[in-house]
Amino acid sequence: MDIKFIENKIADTMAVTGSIDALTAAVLTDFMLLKVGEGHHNLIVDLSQVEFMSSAGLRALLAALKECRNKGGDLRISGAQPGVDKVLKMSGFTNILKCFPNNQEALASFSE
Amino acid sequence: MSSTQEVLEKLGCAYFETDISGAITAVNDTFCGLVGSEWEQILGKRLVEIFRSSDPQILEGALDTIRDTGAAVRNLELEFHNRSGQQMLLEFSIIPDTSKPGEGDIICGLVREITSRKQTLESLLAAEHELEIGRRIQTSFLPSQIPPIPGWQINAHFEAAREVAGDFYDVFTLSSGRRVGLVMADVVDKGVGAALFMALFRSLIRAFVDQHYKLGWMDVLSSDHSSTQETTSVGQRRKLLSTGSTALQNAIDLTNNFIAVNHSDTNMFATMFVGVLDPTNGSLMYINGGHDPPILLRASGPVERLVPTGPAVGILPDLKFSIENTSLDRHDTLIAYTDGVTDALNPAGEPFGEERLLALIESPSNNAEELKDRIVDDLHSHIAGRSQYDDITLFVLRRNPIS
Amino acid sequence: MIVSVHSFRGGTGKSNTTANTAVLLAKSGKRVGVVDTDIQSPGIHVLFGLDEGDMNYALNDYLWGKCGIQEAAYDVSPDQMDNSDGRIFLIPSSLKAGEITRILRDGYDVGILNDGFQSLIQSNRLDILLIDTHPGLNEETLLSIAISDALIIVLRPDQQDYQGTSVTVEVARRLDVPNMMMVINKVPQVFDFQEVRSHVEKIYNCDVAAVLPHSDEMMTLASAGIFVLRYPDHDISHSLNQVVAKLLV
Repeated sequence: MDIKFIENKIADTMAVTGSIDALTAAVLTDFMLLKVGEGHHNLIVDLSQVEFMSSAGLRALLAALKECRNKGGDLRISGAQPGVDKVLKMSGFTNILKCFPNNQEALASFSE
Repeated sequence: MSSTQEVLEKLGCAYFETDISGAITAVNDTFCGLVGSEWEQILGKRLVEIFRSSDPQILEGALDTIRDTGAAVRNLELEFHNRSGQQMLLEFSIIPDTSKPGEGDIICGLVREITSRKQTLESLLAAEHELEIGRRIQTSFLPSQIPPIPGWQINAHFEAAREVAGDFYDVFTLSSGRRVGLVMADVVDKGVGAALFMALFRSLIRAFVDQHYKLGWMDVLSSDHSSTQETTSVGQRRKLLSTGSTALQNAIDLTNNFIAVNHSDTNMFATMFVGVLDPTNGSLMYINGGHDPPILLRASGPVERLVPTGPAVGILPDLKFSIENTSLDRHDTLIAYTDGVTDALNPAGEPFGEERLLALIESPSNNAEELKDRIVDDLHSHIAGRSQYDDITLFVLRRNPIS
Repeated sequence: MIVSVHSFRGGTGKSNTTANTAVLLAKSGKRVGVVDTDIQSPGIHVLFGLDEGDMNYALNDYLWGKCGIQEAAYDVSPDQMDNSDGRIFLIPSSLKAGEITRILRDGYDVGILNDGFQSLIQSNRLDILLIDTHPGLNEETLLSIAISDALIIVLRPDQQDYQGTSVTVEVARRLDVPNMMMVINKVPQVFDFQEVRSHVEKIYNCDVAAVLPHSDEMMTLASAGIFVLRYPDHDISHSLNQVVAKLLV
């Protein structure tokens, strides 16, 4: 699993590649919390290159989501593939955080 | 061919010989290196002097055994500080040697350092012990016996993964015995942490299901936000407020808030299906919190899925969970499971899959136990011994045909 | 039809209103059920002449699963109604201290109450079920208001009653109770009844079905029997007929 961090004035993007499962989720969690701790409170998690995400991945997203919101920001999802989208929908995560089909729309949502 | 001594040196075995009293008469280079002294300083000293330990009886007792009985002593462990202050664990193998007549009885032996091997073994045992604890916790929170429900068959199967994964199911009565509660749940994460949360979730559901004081949907009356109200009609309310509905709503709402508020830092949550069955007429009300939709197989053939009616439980406080209603007629079957079933991998890495599960369910079965066994057997032949990452949990509930 | 009879405070004459309304409904040929959900302070059974000793089962027993709802229902139809179609079935609450405290301590699933009501309406072919509630807002009163087609709020022309009643009215409004009406009871003879009526209608924006005078006959009867049977031509009895009319509209 690979994470690329792209900075932007409005919101920073975390582009994840690979599988987010019990083994890799911890790495993702640590990285996201680190960035939030550094002051990046508005995050977009780009899941377009993620073919598989387990509930461990949901946990990672939840941890970062709470941190962002506690600091007055937000975490939003972009590009979730059908398999990952299904996991987000069934678990109810699509009701607690905003999901967008691509980065542009996700970024635009932060300007509203 | 190298002499025995050369072989021993090459193998890194520390060798020694003593006379019958235990005074060292010969050592090899490896021995000197192990002890950290030159052979001149070693010869003539007694074994117990060289290997000072907190319990000198260990070595002395071994030598006594050899002297008295002529038996060998193998795998004797001794803690030792060598001259450079290094703490190590040594393993002794000592035998009497009567092969050289005329030289008197001698004792010879090998010493090996086994510190790192022992540590690895200990940590492996500790890890296995922790898994065992996790498994025991999990088992103690599963029903030891499912209470029989007159007019119904219920059979369950639970198989823990190597590393405990936090699945659980539960069956209990509520509303003064009028209803039966059914739970199928999956706590995220693995290990002892998941087992503990599984125990917590299971206990909270059981405890909150008996709390009658809170009319969940009545909260709208105490809020000041009149804009968010969807007023229900009298008819709808009469349907909503039936036996077991407040218990069900409480069980989920209160558990959700308890976990989300008190254990927020762990970010733990569980997907769960909780149903309340009226065994006298088959009506089933349920809340599905983000869990794999249970399968409702009608006697006449069609398959319905009881899809999520709310999010997973424990994510954030005050999220909305809705109650849905259905009913089971005679010979209808409800199959609830966790993703450990559909995600189970075979040696080639292919998942068992929903289609395969549905195919098994749709072909006729004589009773719930037979169907459960059929699913479990097919699952096992699919898995073919591959180590499973996730717990496998399922139950089959069937209403008896008219007898 | 399910009708809740409610007061915010005690002593308004709610149970008397319920019992008398039930009799008037039965006299007009209706099959009426009356449930005493005032578990903390039961009392309406006295008006119907049902003795504690006659009660094998009460509402409490049903709630705990000891009996079906029908077994806790007693036919208390007055003798005068033997040849009419109307009947009155009463489900009393227990007077045994232990049973009262047990329910208060353990609580119960209010859904069981609702299911019981539906079951009784079906089994006894009831046209109307009257629910006599405990004063104030609590689980049972909220439940009964929530499932009722009509709500009768009984109050006295008294400042404390006026204040408290606005709470009940607000709850009922939020729950959109289809048919809501007030009964102003124990009005001193010296008051201008019309003024009292308009005053109350104005405060709550709700119809007043009846304004009942404070009556010595009522006080003397002292809940020993049903007023409208004893004094069928009294003003109070006539006014209560207006309540019946509003219910059956």
